[in-house]
Amino acid sequence: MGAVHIRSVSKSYPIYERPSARLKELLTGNRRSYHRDFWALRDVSLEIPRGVTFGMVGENGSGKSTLLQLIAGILWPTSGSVAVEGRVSALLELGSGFNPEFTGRDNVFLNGAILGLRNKEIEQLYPEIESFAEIGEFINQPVKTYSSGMMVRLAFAVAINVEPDILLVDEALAVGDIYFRQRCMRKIHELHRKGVTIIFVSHSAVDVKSLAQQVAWLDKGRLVECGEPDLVVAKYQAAMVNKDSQYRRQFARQAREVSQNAPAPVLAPEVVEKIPNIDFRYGSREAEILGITILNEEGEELALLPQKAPIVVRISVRAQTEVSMPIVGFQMRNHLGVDLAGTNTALEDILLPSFNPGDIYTVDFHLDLPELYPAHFSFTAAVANGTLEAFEVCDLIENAITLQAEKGRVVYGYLHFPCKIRVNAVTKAGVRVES
Amino acid sequence: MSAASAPIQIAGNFLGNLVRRRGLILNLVVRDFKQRYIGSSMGWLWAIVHPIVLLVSYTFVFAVIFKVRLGPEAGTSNYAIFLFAGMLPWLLFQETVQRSANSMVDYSNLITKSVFPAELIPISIFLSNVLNHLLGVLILVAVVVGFTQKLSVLLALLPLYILFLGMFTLGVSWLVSSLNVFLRDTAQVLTIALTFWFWFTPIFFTADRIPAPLRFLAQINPLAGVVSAYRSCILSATGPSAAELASLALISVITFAAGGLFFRHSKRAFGDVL
Repeated sequence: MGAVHIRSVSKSYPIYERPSARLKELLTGNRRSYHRDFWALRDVSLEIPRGVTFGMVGENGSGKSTLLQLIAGILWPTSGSVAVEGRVSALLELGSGFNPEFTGRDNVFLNGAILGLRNKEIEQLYPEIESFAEIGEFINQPVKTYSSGMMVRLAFAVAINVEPDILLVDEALAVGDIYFRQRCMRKIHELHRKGVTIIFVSHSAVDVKSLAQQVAWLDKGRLVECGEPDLVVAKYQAAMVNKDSQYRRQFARQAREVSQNAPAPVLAPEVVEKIPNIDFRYGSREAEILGITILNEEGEELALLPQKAPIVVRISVRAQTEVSMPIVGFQMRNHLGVDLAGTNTALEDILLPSFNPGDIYTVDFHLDLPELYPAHFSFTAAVANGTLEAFEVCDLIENAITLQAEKGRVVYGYLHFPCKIRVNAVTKAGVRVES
Repeated sequence: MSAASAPIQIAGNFLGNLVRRRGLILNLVVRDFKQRYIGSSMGWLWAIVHPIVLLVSYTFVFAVIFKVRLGPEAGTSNYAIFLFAGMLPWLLFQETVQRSANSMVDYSNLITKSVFPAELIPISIFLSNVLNHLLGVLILVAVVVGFTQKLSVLLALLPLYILFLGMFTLGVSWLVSSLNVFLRDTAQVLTIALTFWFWFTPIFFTADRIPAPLRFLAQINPLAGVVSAYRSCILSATGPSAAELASLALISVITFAAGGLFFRHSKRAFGDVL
């Protein structure tokens, strides 16, 4: 079983004018410099305990892949140290480590040997690898004839079946069809249960939140934050949204000219001024969330989410400045951090009037809940300014309120859709319809 | 750790690693061997055809056309056999070094994208060449026995000579293969250097034909020692002296260690350059 210790690691890529300059420098023992530096990583320290599934997020070029390559031992750090305990299996790039001229089978054996397995051991694992890859007869064809989906299936099948202590996965899951992705997810969960340390890079917030127990966010080679997935991913996404807001605001202004719908009527509010939880909060604060609560139809506060019953999500906001095109909304998540459902006033075709400074608005969302898997569900509240396509977040509170769902019938997956069954039977007794 | 035990420990780690990774080495050798004959219907049988063609051609040119005569110290009066016995170790050296030079670039896919012990590549190339080489030796020994009806007991020393040659060859191979990562001209320079090296090594001639002032060239050239050792054990020719063998062994070990250390040091930057 493995653990990874990364101690103030920096990695610079020297940019040389000529390839020979690199050799000159190497031979002089780095006493003289013949290059400019590009820093892919700067002073990153991470402790990844054994058995943890660890996610990494960050923009392109933030150093995630470099960090994985350092852990894999493909690159050496410029300064600092990387200590890895256990056998590392890495899935770094599509078809990496495959020789295109050789058959899938040969490549499986070569890859196994690279990972330090004996031929006998690989022979034992081979049927499992072959059946997981599901590429049929192609296993005996040269890899150059494979589609990209087949290549990643084989690569993944090898990487996870060689019984690694530490598995590194670099966005490889983005390729492959949904069916294969789901099998990979299951396999990753299974490896996690076996105690394998899994370190993966993904651009999918859902993947990161549902798989990882810890997440590191890298930006321009620096570690911005490392910790609990919901929180780190929320901050990362917030940073991305802010980065985009300039661009989006421009769109909002244009959209405003077009919008001519009459403002929706707003009833006399029962203001809620309670925010049970703040995992993370961001926004321009042109308008501010005062509180959020979950009620039943009678207006009583709920301690448990009912099964298959109507509820009311009530959110109160107060404007600090003029907000020309306010949108109020919420997002519901399950215990794995998966975004289950959400909506907002704009999506429901409700156009709120412009807020004036000091105005307080309370919005009630009346929902018909389906049957839910009995877990914790959190609600993230938000108020924004703009349109569905282009908006700026005024205030957003991650997981502002969390409720446990009542225990009901068995639910497969996350939720149960209302369902009616009709059976049409043709038997010896004749045709019969039962419903 | 004392200063003296450090190199021993490095060597121990290195050799231990070779034993541990024998599965991978075997895999690479088989792969290299297959790759050479991939798609050809005769497969590895070509490995027998090549030395036979070489031997027949030498016989035609030097025995039939030029009628070259050799002195008694050559061990055989047949110039084609004499030449072939010298060519075999040289070809093993040349092919390994030349193919190793580009090997890091050829295997860059594995080196940059998986956890791959690159130092094993030249070893696997050498071992794959040794297979061919042994076929050649076998053919040569069969021909010699066919002509003379006797087999030298010195033949038992051949594995030792192959070991010396292997260590020297690997040392050079590690050096040129890592140099070539940073300086792609290395492979070009190497071709020229090998041409000179070939003609300055007593392969087409016996070492005593070299004029006395230039004889040091043969003395510092490990390949000259190996060629002479090969002839001594296969053809019962006058062999290298014990002192010459000792210096051959020393040079081989030093080259092996120096090449290995250079490779180990420069390999850290492979991932950045390839």
